[in-house]
Amino acid sequence: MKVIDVNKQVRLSLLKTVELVLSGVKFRLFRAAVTVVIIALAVAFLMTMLSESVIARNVAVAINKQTGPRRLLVYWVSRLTQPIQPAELTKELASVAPGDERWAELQGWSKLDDEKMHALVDVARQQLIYDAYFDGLADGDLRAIVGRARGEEIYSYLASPEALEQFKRQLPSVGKEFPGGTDTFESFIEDWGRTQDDRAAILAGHSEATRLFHQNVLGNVPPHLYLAGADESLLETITALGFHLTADELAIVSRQAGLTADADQISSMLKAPSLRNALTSKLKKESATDVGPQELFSFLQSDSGTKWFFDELGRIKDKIRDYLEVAGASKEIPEEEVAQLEASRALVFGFDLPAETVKEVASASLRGRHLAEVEAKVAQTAGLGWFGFSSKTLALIIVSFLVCMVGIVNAMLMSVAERFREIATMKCLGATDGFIMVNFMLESCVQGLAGGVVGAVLGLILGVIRSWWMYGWIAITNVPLLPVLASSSISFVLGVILSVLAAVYPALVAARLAPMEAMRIE
Amino acid sequence: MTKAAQTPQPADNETDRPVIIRTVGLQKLYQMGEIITKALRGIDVELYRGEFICVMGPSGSGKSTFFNMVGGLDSPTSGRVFIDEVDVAQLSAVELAFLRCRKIGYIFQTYNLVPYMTCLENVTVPMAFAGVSSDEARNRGMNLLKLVGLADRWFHKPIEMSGGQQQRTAIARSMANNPSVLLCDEPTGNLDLKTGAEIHDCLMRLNKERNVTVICATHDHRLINMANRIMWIRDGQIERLADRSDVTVETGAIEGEENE
Repeated sequence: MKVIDVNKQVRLSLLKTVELVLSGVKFRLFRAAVTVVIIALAVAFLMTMLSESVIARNVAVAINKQTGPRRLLVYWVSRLTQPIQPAELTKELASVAPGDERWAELQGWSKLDDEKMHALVDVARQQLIYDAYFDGLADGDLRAIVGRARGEEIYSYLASPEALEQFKRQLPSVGKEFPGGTDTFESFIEDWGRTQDDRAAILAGHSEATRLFHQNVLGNVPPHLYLAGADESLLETITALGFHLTADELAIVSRQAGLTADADQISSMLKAPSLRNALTSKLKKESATDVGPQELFSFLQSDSGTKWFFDELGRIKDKIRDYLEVAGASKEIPEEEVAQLEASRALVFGFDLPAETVKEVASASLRGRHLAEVEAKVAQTAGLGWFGFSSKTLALIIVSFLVCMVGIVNAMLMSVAERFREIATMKCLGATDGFIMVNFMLESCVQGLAGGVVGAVLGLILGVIRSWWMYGWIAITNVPLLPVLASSSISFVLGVILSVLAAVYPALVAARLAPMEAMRIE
Repeated sequence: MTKAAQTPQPADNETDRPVIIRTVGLQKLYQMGEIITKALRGIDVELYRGEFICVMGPSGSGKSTFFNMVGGLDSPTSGRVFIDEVDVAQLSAVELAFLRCRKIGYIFQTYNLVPYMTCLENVTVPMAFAGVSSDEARNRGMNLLKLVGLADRWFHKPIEMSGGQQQRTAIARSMANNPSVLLCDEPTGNLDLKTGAEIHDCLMRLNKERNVTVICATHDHRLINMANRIMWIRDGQIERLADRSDVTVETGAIEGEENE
């Protein structure tokens, strides 16, 4: 009776196995290359999406910084001259705290004490939550629970007990989950009703301040123009009316207002027919309607353009002097042109900006427009869900990975089939099933590593190129290092996992092969 | 671990020669759907240590199935196969691998060398599976290559060698772990007469000098000429099992020049 002592069967060391695998891969380089390409494609696809969305996020942040001044101007012009909308007020109340500039403003206008202000803030915060709930509902649902009331009306409507009863009764029929309990909501309704007067006080105080601003400060001057020439005294006046504007903010606003005012003046020159016609032929456009502010600003960006502009202005002024201011001389030119010169007279003589300013303003305006365009584009992509992916993109990526997995399984099965005899021979020589399995898994691991690296690099390049195509040069300068590295690692690891997972089935097939296949005696 | 079967001493041993492989009532059935094919219908045979035995039979006779059984490559449906007194049917997959690695050497008609390894590396593959250190493996490998006359070609890849040289490499590989049995499946099937002769000499030497049992499936008359016993299999049973001396074998030589 003999017994086999299997402990003597030593497992092949990992190093040797890796050596074996590598020499095998080198031998079957072409087949391995196909698998590597498949993996690289899947990884590159994922990486392109990832890097695009990561870059878009960063671009959005960068743009936000650059459009700061313009936004500040818009904010202050509106705050100084327009009444605050109720919805705006709610949002503002929800986000202030004691010590804020805005808190001081609101308190100043309404003369409310701290306790009442806090109450307003709490109510506003709650209101935002309920607003979000009601906003998302369909009309049918809304009609069931709050009748015809919409927006803020809902809360005043629900103050009546019958309406509240109906609301509570119908609420379960609405699909969307109501935030919090109905008890909390009821006490909110009470609070809301109570604080309405305080809110009105704030709005009234602010409204009075804007009226005074219009009356005492602006007069008939447009706000942009006025703010452009801001100085300390203006700051004092504004502060006296209850607005908390800091000197720094005013400096930024004033500069931006100046730019806007100048840009307006330049683009209004297009209303002068003589100048517009001259520009149309200079730019070789078909008709005057093709020449708008955009074209004018692009033209004025260069030194030659600005020079031509001022020369042309001079020429028109000369013509006006020669033909319109000398009695009888206007008979020497066609009537059409007389009309044009007449119409242009005020604008042309009223233009008072120097050449450097014109150039500067033109470039700044164009940049501003470009940024606004890019901002709009980026807003569509950045900030969507998971890593910036819409669920559609996510589904696409998952499908692409699955398809690639199928492709890899196919390629590996072909490889196994090709190597039937080799595998069977190995088994005859003493290889265990486990060894064969490890062999194939390692092979696909190596392929996964290679494919992952190639794919990640390729994907990054493609992502950067696509971002540049969509957003311009701002994309190149705003590639964020750490998120990109993180994305690369994720894509790379996913590529390796994909490859290893795909190899499981073929490796099993190979491992289960009977050594009999090697013996073909028939 | 394995439970080796209790084997009674073979009662009807014709001679007192040690038995290396023994089959008792060996049967193999293949089931394909509803059709059951009886490949082996009960084979009882004893193969002695150190003998050279040729197995012959027409295709479909169960010759290859018998080979697989005896070589530890397959398990019988019923009956027993004892290789060196170990019941093959009781072994697990890992134990079978062990058996194949150390007790049995294989030589194939198509050589079956690993194409991306050199001659020496091919020879040392079974040693790697047996846990032999690389230095010792290389030494043993070179010695084996010297034995078959390929010592100066140790760095060649299979694709750079002729058929006869590849087969000799395969023979060296089969001897890597000093097996007791050599299983040869048409070793000279793909070779011409002249190179075939090298193989014969090789096998002959191994059989005589190292007392390795050689079990050959072949149609080559020169190999049959060298055998101790010859076995014919037909229809899943042993048709005839005879000593060499009881059989007439005619081998001829082709006069004139032979091509490479």
